[in-house]
Amino acid sequence: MTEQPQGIVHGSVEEFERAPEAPPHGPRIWIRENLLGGDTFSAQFFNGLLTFVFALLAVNVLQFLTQYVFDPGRRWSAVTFNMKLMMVQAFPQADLIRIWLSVGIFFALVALSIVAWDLRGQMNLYVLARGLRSTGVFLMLMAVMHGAFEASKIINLPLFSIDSPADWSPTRLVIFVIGLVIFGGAFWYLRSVGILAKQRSVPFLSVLVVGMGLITLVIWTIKLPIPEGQFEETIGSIATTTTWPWTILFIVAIVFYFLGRWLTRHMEAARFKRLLVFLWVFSYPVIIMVIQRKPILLWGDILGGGPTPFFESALGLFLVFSIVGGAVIWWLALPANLMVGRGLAIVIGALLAVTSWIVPEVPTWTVVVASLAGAALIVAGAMIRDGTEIARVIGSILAVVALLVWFVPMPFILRSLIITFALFAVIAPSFGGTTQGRTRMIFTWVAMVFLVVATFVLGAAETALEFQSTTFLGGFNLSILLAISGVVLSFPLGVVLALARTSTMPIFRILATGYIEIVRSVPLITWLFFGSVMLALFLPSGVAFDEIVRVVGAISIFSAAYVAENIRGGLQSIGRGQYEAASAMGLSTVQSTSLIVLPQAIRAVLPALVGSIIVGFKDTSLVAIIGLADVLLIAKTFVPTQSNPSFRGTTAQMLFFIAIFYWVFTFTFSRLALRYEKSLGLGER
Amino acid sequence: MSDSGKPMIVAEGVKKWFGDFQALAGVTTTVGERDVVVIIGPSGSGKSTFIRCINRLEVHQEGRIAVDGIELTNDLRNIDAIRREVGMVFQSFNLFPHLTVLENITLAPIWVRKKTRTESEEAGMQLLERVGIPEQADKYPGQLSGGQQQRVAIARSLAMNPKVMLFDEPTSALDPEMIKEVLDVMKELALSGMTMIVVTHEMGFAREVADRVLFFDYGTIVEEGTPEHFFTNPQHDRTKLFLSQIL
Repeated sequence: MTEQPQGIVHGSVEEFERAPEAPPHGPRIWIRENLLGGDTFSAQFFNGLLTFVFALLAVNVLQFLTQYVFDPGRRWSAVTFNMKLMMVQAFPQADLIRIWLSVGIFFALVALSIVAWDLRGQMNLYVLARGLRSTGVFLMLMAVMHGAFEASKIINLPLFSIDSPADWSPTRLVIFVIGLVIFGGAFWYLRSVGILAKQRSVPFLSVLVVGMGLITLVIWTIKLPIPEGQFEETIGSIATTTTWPWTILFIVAIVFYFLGRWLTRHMEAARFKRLLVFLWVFSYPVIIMVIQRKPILLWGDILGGGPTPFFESALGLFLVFSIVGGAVIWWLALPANLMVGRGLAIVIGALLAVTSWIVPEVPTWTVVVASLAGAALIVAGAMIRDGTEIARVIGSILAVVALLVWFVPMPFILRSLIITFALFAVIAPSFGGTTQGRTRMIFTWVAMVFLVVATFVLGAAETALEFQSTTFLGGFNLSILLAISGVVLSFPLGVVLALARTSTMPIFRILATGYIEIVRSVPLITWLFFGSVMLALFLPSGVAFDEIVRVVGAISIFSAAYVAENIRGGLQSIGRGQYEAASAMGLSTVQSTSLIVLPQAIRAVLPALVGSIIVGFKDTSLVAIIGLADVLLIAKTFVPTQSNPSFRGTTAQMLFFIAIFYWVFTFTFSRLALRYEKSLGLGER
Repeated sequence: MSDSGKPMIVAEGVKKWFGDFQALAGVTTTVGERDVVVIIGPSGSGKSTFIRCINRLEVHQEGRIAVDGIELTNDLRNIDAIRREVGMVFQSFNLFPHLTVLENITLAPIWVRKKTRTESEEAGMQLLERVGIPEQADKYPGQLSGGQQQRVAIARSLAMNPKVMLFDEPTSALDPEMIKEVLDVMKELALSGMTMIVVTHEMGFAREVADRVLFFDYGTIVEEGTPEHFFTNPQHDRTKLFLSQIL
């Protein structure tokens, strides 16, 4: 009987071995893995059959498309000639520089943002080369496929035919050669570098710059065809051409990129980001209201003087509210504010007195309300010792006073300012915090006052553009405006709705659920008709909004319901532990919602939100039905029927172009969003 | 040993029901300043519920709880005041995954204590040194091991300078080799004079660090005493049974 060992020492591994080299891939293995699949004969047979059938189908679709595109009967000049019409509709020639300026601001901000949020990233050479290889194959196939059925054929099947290269047109040959060069280059690179290419990468930005450079080159070299009997437009200024503006924009983007690089070296990163957020927010109204609308400003109303007293002027209101309101908010946000009552009561009283003085319609009883509020403050101050709590009480009283003021007849601008002030006063204790936080809060407040005042000033101003249509917006310019406004307005509304729907308080829950269910169950086009036609019946006489504003409202209200449902999904994915940890640390509900819950919830549903933004962008084309001249209406109706006779009956081409146009935008956007999602991946749990 | 200065936490006849199920059936105890109290007991015995009542994550229905002289009532200001003074460490860490380690730690000092960012970050780095992972400050919680995450969670609670720390099974979700690094931090904390209530199954920790051990079963304290008393001479049958099963 041998003795059983108690234990055996196997030793340890000093260094891990390398994985064995992958066996070389021959064509047979490639065919088996990609075309046949499966590991039994019958599976390979049926999979091979399916591959063949679907490949034939794909080739056939491609052939149909290429034949359609390259058919001599197609009049693509309808697209190229009317490009400007589709982009900006009837925007006056002389003011086209305004459109380019808008695009330029956008490019500059994008370039700066790429630096600030470090979206530079790397592009894997292997992926890039494979993409180029496929593009080359696609181009070559396109050239081979587009032969007309009548030509002499090499292959001639009912579904599939190829003609002899001798019959090829020069365009086809050029496309084939370009495809061959791209394919050959990429193929050669992948062959010679092989799998190692996976480890190599080039900066994403250099790919972008090369791409943009190529586009610029193409614009300069290829002259777009113009239908017979038409003349090239008389060149009034650079703005009416395509070449120079795009070249300048290309340079602007590069210059601003390097400006951003320079700024990051001389500026704190967080401050740079804040500045950019500020610029983005402001660029939107500035582009729409100032640059594109070219308003006639009445300086008398803005600066005061003449019939308008200073304190009724825009500047006067801005100064009063920024300085007085800013001081009150600063005071409210002081952390250990035990001094209550009198001082603030005086401020509120003074504020209302000023309002009643500059607006004679305000009756004296508002001043009584202010005094009562002051008295309540003194009582509250005596009862409560905690500074934050006092500030909150004061804020709430201000909100109530502001609501009462709402019912008093006075200019709309003043009401808006008072309500904004009350909201800031209520949230001041939550977000005041440090001196730094308070300073930031005051800046936000001043910016907000500026925004409100500017909106009223610019909204009331007449435009100086001479119109060919009723509105200065049209074409793709209008589509983009509707899409951006829809996102910008529906997002905050959707967040509020989602929070309300998940709230424990029944009134919020019922209202939010009712809103979402009603809005979602009615088609968008119905809401658009409602906004465009019926809304006027519901509004009191004298109150009227521009049609664009009503449509933007309808779109935002509609997409807010979808955003809300998406975000609700995100809210539900946040574990109870997160709420518990936040409240165990003493964060208030407002703080834990805005700092802990919402950022995570929105991140969790980002893909869904991107989806609804894309849907929103495409849905803007519905405004064509209510008669707004968006890019679809121009392409489908204006060009084939109304403009010059050589474009009669080109509806199909125009729609084909519009489809590709929308695809380019949505595809680019979804790719960028994907990149952004990946860059956020670090923060995932 | 306990110097049982002034009472930090006072609980009298605390009762709590979840629907018809009685989770706490009258808990009465006092925890003095600088005391380290370890709560043991089978699962479902109400030990977690009890410490969650102390910072009002659960609401007790009968009896009274006072922390540092502040009565725990429905008055919101009292709850806020208590939560500022009581830190809590959870079984599942509950770090905020979208914030870096340092941001997790500085969040409450900045937003609740209203300190400046620089000040909070300095204090936060000191705390990370104390729990032994200053080099992880800029990482996200998802990039850390369980033990490191729990140490960050402890640092996050300490950042509020609490008077009391509650630990709700802090090592139960950890791999055995990571338990020690967390317990070491907790021991250091106990030696520094922090008032602590620890719900745990780590009997070694209880024996070494606790001033007093409470044994919970069926929602009430069945037996309490010093660690020596507990591990050498338990009196109640339930205590004996429980200890015989886990030791």
